[in-house]
Amino acid sequence: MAKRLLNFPDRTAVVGVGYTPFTKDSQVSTLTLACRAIMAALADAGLDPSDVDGLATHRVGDSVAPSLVGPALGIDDPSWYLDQFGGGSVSHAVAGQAALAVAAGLADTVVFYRAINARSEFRMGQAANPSPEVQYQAPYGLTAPVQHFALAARAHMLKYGTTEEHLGRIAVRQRAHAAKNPRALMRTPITLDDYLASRWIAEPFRLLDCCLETDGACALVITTAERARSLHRTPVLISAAAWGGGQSFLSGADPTVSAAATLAPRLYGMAGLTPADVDVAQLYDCFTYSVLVQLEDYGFCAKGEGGPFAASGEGPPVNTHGGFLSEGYVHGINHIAEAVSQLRGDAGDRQVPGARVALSTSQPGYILPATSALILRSP
Amino acid sequence: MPAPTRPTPDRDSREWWERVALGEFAVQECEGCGLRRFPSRAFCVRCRGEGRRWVAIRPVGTVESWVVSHRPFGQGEIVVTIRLDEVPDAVVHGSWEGTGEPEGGSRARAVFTAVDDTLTLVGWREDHGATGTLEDGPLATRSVSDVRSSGGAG
Repeated sequence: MAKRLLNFPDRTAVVGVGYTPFTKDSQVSTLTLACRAIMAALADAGLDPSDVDGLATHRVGDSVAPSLVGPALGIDDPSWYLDQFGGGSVSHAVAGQAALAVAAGLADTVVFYRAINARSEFRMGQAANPSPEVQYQAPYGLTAPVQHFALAARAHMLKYGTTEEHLGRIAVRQRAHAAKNPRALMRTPITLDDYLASRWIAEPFRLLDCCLETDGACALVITTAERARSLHRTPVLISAAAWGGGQSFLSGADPTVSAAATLAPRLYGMAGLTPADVDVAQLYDCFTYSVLVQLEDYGFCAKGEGGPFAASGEGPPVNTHGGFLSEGYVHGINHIAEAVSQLRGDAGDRQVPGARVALSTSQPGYILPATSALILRSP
Repeated sequence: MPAPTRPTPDRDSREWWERVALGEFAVQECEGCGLRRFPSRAFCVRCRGEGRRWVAIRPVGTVESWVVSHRPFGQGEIVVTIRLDEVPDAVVHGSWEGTGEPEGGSRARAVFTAVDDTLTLVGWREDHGATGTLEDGPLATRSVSDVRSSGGAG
């Protein structure tokens, strides 16, 4: 395929991030959560709802559409919107499409939000799953994302000798990060013994391999790099966005290779960067194993070496906010928000000194067979 | 054991479930290039042809992975991933009905269980060196009524 020149890298920027508190029961609707996160993100950017002409989200029957959120905030005539089906695998694709709309001039300022009551209202695995594969799995009790990832983790253990201690070190390290994050739901440090003593959920996964089902919302404001220069926050440039890749695992794909392996060359190529350039990585961590396999598939270590590599803590700092395992789980958007914070240099006690390039990623293709990711950099 | 979640066959898969209910493990074979595929679907991924026929295969394969489910997803039940000998590009999931936990890379063969008059499920157990032809396993000796009368194990 001919190499085309892209009019995309570094043309757009994230200029605001906003959160609601992360809780186990928000007591409010997803519409309220969305509006609060959007207002917080606009305040962070120094903008007003009247500046917004694009809205984007993704959902699986568990949240509110732009057509509801826009009018609720007086954004009555957005020139562009996106209401994408999907959970964690599409979060970065939605951010990427919002940036594309801005780069193409379809919109000037887009807000991407994700608002869920994923603990108190709609728990994952209970939403309608449209995949025809379910009929071959559900009769045997194979219904939950944790089981699918456990199957992949076991296959990695069998093929490469990955151990439960390798997985445990990931959980322990992310909790140490979360201890420095005031937003995090779980801030009490844990040890490897705590990990090994936590109860089984779906062997080889224990409780502490699993993310936190969370009520909460997060929003990002994306505008042109040019406009970003006149706003009061340090802009964070979107250097690359990619989505796609991957195969259905019922179709026999090797479960030890994630969709990230297909995506990574395209992503790095767009940014003109390599894994060695990444200063901080926010890797989708619905379960510990997804961090391990992405360390391999995004090129930080060789295939099969993700266990020892993750356990050693080599490579760039990963999931500096504590990740979904310890901060909270808003399906990917809070990884982007943390990457922005690190690149602006306002991550407080958990700041990675001198971070200039961040990788942020989505669910690496184990449920819906696709993933998505961004490379962000400071100007 | 709670009753299993009933599958909802679709227009691509209905015949597969009907054949399972007859005690047959069938896959589609492309009429154009001969590639076998599972699960059932309209197009051949290699030659993109739509023509296909159903062929019964030896329901044997290799254990590629397994998960032991605990509360709230189960009570120690094991689901295995099996890579099929005759369709090496495909895997199938099912209940482990063997002894103890499976072993990675070990051989397994299908166990058909009639849950009731309209639903048969496919589980897996160790395969101790049977040649796995359709003629030599217990499967081949089960008539439809035999299969249906063996219900209850699920």
